Amino acid sequence: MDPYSKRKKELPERPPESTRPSPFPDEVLELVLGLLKSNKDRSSVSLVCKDWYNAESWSRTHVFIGNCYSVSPEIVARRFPKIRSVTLKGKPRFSDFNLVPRNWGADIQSWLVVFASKYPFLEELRLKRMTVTDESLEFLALNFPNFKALSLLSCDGFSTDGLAAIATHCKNLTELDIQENGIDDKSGNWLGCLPENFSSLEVLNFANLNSDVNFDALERLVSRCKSLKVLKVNKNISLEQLQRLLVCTPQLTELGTGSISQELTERQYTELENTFKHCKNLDTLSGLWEVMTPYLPVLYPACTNLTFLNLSYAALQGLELANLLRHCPQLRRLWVLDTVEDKGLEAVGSNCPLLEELRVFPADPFDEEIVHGVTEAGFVAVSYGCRRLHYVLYFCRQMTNAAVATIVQNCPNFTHFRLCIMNPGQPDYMTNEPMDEAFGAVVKTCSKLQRLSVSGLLTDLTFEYVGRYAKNLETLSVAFAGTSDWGMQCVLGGCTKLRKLEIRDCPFGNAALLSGLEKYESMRSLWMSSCNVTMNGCRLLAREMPRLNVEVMKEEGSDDSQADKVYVYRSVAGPRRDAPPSVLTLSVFTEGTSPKCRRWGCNPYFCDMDG
Amino acid sequence: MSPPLLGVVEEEGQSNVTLLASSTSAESICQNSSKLKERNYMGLSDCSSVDSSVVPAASDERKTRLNLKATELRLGLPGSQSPERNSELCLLSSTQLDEKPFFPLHPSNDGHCSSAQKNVVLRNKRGFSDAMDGFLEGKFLSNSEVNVMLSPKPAPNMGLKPGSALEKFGPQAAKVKDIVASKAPQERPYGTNDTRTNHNTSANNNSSAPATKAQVVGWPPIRSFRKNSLATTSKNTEEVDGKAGSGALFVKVSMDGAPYLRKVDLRNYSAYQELSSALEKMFGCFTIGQYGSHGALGREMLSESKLKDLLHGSEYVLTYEDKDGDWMLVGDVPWEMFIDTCKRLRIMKSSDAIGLAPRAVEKCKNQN
Repeated sequence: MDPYSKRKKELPERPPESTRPSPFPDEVLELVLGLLKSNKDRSSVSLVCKDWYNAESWSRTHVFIGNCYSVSPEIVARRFPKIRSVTLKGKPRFSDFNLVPRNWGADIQSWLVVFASKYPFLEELRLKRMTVTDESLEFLALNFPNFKALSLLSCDGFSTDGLAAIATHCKNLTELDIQENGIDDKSGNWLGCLPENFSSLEVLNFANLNSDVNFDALERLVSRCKSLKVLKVNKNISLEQLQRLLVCTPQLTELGTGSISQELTERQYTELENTFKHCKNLDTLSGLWEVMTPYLPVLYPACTNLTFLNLSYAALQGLELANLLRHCPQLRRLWVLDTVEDKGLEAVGSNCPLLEELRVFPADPFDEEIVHGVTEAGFVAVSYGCRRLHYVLYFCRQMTNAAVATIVQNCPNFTHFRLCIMNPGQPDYMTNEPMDEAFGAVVKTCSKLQRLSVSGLLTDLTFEYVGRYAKNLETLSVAFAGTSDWGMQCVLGGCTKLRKLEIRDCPFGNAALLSGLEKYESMRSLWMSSCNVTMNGCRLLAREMPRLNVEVMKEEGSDDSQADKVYVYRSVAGPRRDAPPSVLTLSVFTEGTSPKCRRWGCNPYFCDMDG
Repeated sequence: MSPPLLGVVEEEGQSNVTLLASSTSAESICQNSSKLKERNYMGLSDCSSVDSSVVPAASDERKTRLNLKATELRLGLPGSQSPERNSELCLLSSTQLDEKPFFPLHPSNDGHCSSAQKNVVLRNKRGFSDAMDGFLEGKFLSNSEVNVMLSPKPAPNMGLKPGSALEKFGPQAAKVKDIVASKAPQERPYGTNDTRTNHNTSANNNSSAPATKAQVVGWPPIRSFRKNSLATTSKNTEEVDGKAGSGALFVKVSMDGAPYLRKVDLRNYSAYQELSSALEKMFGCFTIGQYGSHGALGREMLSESKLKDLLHGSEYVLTYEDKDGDWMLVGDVPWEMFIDTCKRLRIMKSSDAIGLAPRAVEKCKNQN
């Protein structure tokens, strides 16, 4: 039977030819729309009319779901029948910092079960902050014969046994990317589970793992996989072993080294140098665990075409960084530890004119006694030298309003400005004033700002500025800031494009929470913890907005009336049924009714999936 | 320069206990002062609960208990006795130490310590580091509190084997103890994950596990994976110290009147002059701070020359603590010998250093 005519029967009645808006047959429309890759564009397209909605649905192969509880797998499968690639995000971002109870949810299993029947041809699964058990990994490996790419970032619940299952059964695996997960590292022999003739791997990242992997198996694997583009090993791989791997992989574009701490003979050093000379295709370099800095020069020949250098696990000093950066003229993204100090950042400013992204992580974030690290001076130095900078994540122990004003004057194109002054509520250390003017300068100057994280001593004035000027802001993270409900009200009232708001330890209460009643349906989620919100406030919110899921996490020994942690998100799937006892779902939503969202037009399902 | 709020914490030693207990409501207040009150770098509120849990199984109970006290002592004043020496004392005169307060409120080098006392009062913000130096108990607590403090505290959460770390003498041990001591308050009212992390990392040989900001869960916002990796990284940095020809040799540098300490890598320098100019650059701003604020740019320029003047005009002297725990004037011994023996540096007011020179000379005589 002609697949197209079959489909025509399933679709709703189309209006007669004369009134049909589109002259294109469905097939053409689908072909054209199939070329659209951006999910935002696809969402817009699907709103044009029913035809376009259907064509978009049929031609879509990748779906991005920003909050796994905003929609159910059944709804997704019903709308998009041809999905081959799924990206799912689960827990609220603050779960990365231990603010979410361990068994909170976001388990992938229920999704896999539906996918097994609806998307048996699924090829790619990318998960962030989901709970993934070994059983799920095995289920995945056994039920999707075409499965190719698995990426797990900041997930938990699995062990290397699960990886072994993937390795054993996924015959077509091209990508295995295990990053920064809470993984139970039992042993490294999962790698040996890959079949001997297996050669399709293009991406292998096991930098997260602490156990030794079977090096012989790894070496054989790497030499067989001629398409391997990305290889990121863990710290247990020595320099010598790395060299043996690199000899087989001159085509690598992304390399994550092991530890650079092994003692080398001169001959070994020279060999290693030569090997790196042949890595001319590298655009990304990371790893460098436990780096012994005398050996850094061995990397220089490989840095010519580097665009992304991740030194965030390498405790380099300023001078060492400076020397390294001289060999990286093409650098666009740089991640460092604050051991490089301001001197190192000055070198960044001098050597990286093309830099677009800088992240400075603290080496001793919890050590109050010693003050290493970077100050406002380093940031300012970077801003003078790197005018294209638009993404920054900066952990420091001191900052001034004046410095930030200078920085954004130099770099007005910030899209992501994440400043973390590590001592909560710390004022401008020179004037002792709040840091309001700093963030005021940011939002006034950087009109393209999409993401902002604030810190330091902040009053409501900061949030007045944010509400008034940050019209493109989509994500805002606030901690230990603000004076009253007014602050949060300004943000909710002013930031029209706001999608994610996460707040902790701020004096915002019910009035602030409820001022956003109308707004939360246009946002992905709201997180408020250790604020002044009460259970009654949350109940009121839940009652007024039935299409929101209002979840409260209570803490041990806290007051009954306090809502310690509140997580509010829009959902077309109704309140979730897998919440643990510590998570209270406040909802008056009755199951079985399908919501007609007044704001989303004919299309109740799309918005959360894409944003 | 520093938020006065932090000064509040130091003086409310008593109240810390109750504040920690009512963690959640305190959290929800969200005022900086109450936030800061909860931070208890001394572990003051915790020690009572910990007493019973740290009964060492070692044969020589008294010795081990005293050694734990020596751990406490590592938070000693700059100039007060070092842990090695203290454990020696412990072994020799245990009865003595049982009886009197361990932190010498009237230390041998009177002039030296009293000025340090004054400095603590001035340094609102980094009074903590002084607190860490053990000084705080003397200043702000009654004697009874001091005795409570003496009960071994940091050990349980660190998984320390009582006495084991302390048996090792030398710079490495000093740093280890430093870390141990500075990580003292491990108790967290909630945030079990963090505690677990601490246990894991601390099991790795007294590595620098996340600690002092125990009361603020999930802050600074860094992923667990990174926290754990960094703990291992800095542990390795510490271990590498002292190895000839490889790695860095970090020592702490404190300056009287400065709100916080710095660390320098002695291997970056090959002569005293280099070290001295590096320190001038590093600490120049603090000297200027005492003389009033200047513009952000002009600051550095002025301060360097000013500090040079100050240093050369012997307003400040550079001293160091050596392996034996004695404080010496920098410059007496050849550079190589210096970096071998230097454990930490201190820029003192020359008025406080009066007692040092003769001792240093004597010591050299004894050594040579």
